[in-house]
Amino acid sequence: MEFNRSHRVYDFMAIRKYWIAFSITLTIVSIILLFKPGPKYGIDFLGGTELTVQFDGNVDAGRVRAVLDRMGHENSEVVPTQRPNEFIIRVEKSSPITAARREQIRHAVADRLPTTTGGGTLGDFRLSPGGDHLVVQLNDSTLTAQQVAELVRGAGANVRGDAALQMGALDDHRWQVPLVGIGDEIFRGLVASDGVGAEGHLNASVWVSPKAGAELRYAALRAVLYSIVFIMIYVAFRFDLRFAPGGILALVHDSVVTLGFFVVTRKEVTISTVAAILTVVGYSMNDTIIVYDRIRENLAKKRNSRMLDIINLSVSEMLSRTILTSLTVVLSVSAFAFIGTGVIRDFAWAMIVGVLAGTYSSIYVAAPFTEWIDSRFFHDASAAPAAPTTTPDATASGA
Amino acid sequence: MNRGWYWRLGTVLFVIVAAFVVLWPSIPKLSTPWVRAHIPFRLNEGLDIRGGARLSYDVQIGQAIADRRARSMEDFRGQLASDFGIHHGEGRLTPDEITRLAERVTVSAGSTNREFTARLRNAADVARVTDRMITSRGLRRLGTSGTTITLGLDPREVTALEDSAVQQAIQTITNRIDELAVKETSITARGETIVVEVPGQDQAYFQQIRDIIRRTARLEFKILDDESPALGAIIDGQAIPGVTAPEGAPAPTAHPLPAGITRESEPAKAGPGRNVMSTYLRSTGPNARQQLQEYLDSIRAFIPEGRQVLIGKADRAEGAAATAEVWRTYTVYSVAQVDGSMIDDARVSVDPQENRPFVSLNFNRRGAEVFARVTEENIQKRFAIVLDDRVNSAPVIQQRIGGGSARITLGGDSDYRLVLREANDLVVVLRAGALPAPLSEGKQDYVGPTLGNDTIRHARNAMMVGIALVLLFMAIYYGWAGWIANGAVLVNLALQLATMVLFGATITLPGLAGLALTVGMSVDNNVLINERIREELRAGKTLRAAVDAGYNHAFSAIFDGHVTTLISGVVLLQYGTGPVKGFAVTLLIGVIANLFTGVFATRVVFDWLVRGLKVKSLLGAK
Repeated sequence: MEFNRSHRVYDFMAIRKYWIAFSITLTIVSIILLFKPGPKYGIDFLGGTELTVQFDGNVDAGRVRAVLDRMGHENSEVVPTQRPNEFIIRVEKSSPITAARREQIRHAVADRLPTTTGGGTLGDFRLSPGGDHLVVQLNDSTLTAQQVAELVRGAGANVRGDAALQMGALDDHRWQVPLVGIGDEIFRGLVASDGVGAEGHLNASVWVSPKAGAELRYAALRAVLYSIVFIMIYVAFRFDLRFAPGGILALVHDSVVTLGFFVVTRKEVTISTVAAILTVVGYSMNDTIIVYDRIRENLAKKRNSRMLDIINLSVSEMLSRTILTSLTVVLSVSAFAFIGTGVIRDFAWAMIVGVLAGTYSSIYVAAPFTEWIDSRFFHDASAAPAAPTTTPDATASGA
Repeated sequence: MNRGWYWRLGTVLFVIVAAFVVLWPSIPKLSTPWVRAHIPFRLNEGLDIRGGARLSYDVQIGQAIADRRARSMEDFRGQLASDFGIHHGEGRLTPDEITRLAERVTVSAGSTNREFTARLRNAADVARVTDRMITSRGLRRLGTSGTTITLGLDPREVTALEDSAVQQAIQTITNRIDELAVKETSITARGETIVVEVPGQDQAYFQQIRDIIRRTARLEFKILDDESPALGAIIDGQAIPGVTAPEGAPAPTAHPLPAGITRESEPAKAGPGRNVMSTYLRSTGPNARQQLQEYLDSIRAFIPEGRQVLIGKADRAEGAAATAEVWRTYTVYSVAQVDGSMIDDARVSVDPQENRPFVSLNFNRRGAEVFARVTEENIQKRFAIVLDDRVNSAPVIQQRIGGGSARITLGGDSDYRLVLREANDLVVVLRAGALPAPLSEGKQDYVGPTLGNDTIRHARNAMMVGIALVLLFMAIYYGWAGWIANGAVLVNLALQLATMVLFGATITLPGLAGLALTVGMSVDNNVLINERIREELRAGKTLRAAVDAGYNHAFSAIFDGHVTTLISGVVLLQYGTGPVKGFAVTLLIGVIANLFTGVFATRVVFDWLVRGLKVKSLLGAK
């Protein structure tokens, strides 16, 4: 079996204008989409609410998951603990409280303190980012955990349970007061549902911070930027300066388009997506290098040909390889895209889109850009000593 | 077949067998209890597939605030010393300057963890503490009565500290775990509680993680005050010679030593040619450390300005029981002359004479400068290396130390392996940086997989289907040459899994998808080579020449492609954190495995076919 059995040379570059216009549009649209509406970040990046639920009867994790799915909490995690029928449930939702409401509660607490025996004075007053608890510091207070909870409830806050939790040293008088929020709502939904079929007890409902904060996104981005710089240097050294920018442009094109795909399909961006994008970056670079390698070889062989012809020849020669490799890569992950669920399915889609973009961009982003740089900047520089792999007849190549 | 070919075949077979041995215990259908007992390697499945331990820690934010206050107090002392003309320039206060400053002012902790007081000796000095000077130091004046000024941390700064302490602690824990291994770990906060989830069942590994997370790892170098008569005077309830008690200070009362603590003295150097007898306390018995610490806490208010009494492990007396711990005190100047932020790198080294591991520290440029200056100013005095408020050792400064390195000795007299482990753990925490606040350790729980059985089963099936599709496609497209590539792909898969096992990396569900993807990509090498061989055959070469030319010509593309991947892998490893780092490791393993199986191993088979068997037709062309 063989693709492109006739071994003809196609004039890929003749229609390059349309494809370049297409790529530019695609990239710009993707960039706009990244800002508005922006990617839909998952629990990995935004955090969520973590419930600890103890069921009274025998309950299976799969059933809890099914019920959560039906309630619209897709991609939630249901983790069995070492105690029977106890689960840690993580959902993406949180229960934010507005700043105005927080101030209202703070003033109410401060107002009630002078009339409360042993209330002390209000120090810190903080609301957790997920709206799941308040932290109050009552300097010199002698209140018990129950009295603190009662004080805050009296100030209008929707306190869960009847006791606050003391934090830190005793003389620091810091109390954590749990609030009713999305966790309670989900819990009520769970026990009311037929699917779970057991009563239970909500042991805790707290906001969890993202697994990967801005730090990870920043680290990933910084690492990619640094590797781009080093790869550029390598390409400039192994090939020549003309080739480097095209490869980088193709790489940016592919990762931006893949992210754009995530925005359009409203797929969730998770840590796995970051891994997928990094893989796409690697694949894109590799694919471009392989096309470049053939261009380099043909440039050395046919010194009098135009750059455009060399690109056509090289891409045509590599056509069967290009189809073959992208096909096998797509085949290898396609099963995940159709059989898989959740995170895996999204990862597979990211890879499929990225690989197709990576294959396409080597031909219609990297190669034409290299040709453009060649004719724009190296055409005039024919007098300068040529790099080893550059055709010495640079004037002819642009003519 | 020539000898080179046999060598190459031997290498390939060896690698295949080695990979199998590593993976053997992880394949339930093929392994026996004997195999599982004798081969220590295991495939680590991630939290999503297998679950693991769940450790929780409370960040003691109150302590972080108290630490900030302690720094503000030092900073404020430095400012006053400059204003009073006692100290000049940028550096920290010298022991002599501290003594002179103590004659003008006493700065001590206040009633809450964010307040402190400055008691001035001269009423004339009160006016020198201006509001501008206070606010420029990030402080607030809470009140002035007579010559006593009460100061507090800026509330905004306290809030910022509270906000950042948990985040910083998470970052530090992430760095530490990154230093330790490439296991996928989840680190998240719930308010002021940090939850660390570690995959697997390995209790020893959990213990190591706990040991590493728990350490605050605050490293400080402080000069000893061996001349201070304070300890003796406090015990006896006498006024401390040479120190005028500040106004309003409690009257001296005797503080008799409890049983188990003894007053000792040792000859010490206090500068060139100055030999003094230094007083210290020594504690023995079952609760030696705790008892000594409690006694010191009870006399804290009487310790002179700018001094601190720290504890550290002492050598056991001759003939004492091997389990008994002995602790002793060191009186130091509380200014940390050098701290952990001035450390550039930490490494485990082994003392060749004593055959004991120790930790060697390299200072960064600023640290080296400060260390050289401090050692020059304090020749023939002792300096204490203080780790988390415990004195590690207190050597005498013999000369100015310019090179910018120091060493931390470890572990008293425990055996080599324990000391080495302790040294390794210490290096991890020193490199990853100090925690912004101490952590109090909560319970250790175990959790099941985050994903359901269905999801895991589907993903496993998808991986099988994906790999099968690729193999089938290659077989159809290339015929027998496709099967050579397929063999390479399978060996590649085994090799990558085996390397991940050796590195202790975790397999997660996205990781499985990544492996399937690797299969798709690793085929690329063989596609490139096979297509090239076909091209060479079309150009009229014999099969044998075409195989040689195909491998040689395809190699430049394969090489450049893999080097660029290698570059991004190394950069991601260097600059990435957490999962990004894990990804980089997989990437690098993939590059090596690809080159080995796709190019080196398949060549062995091709050579055997065209040279040994003298096959005339391959790849559907003649």
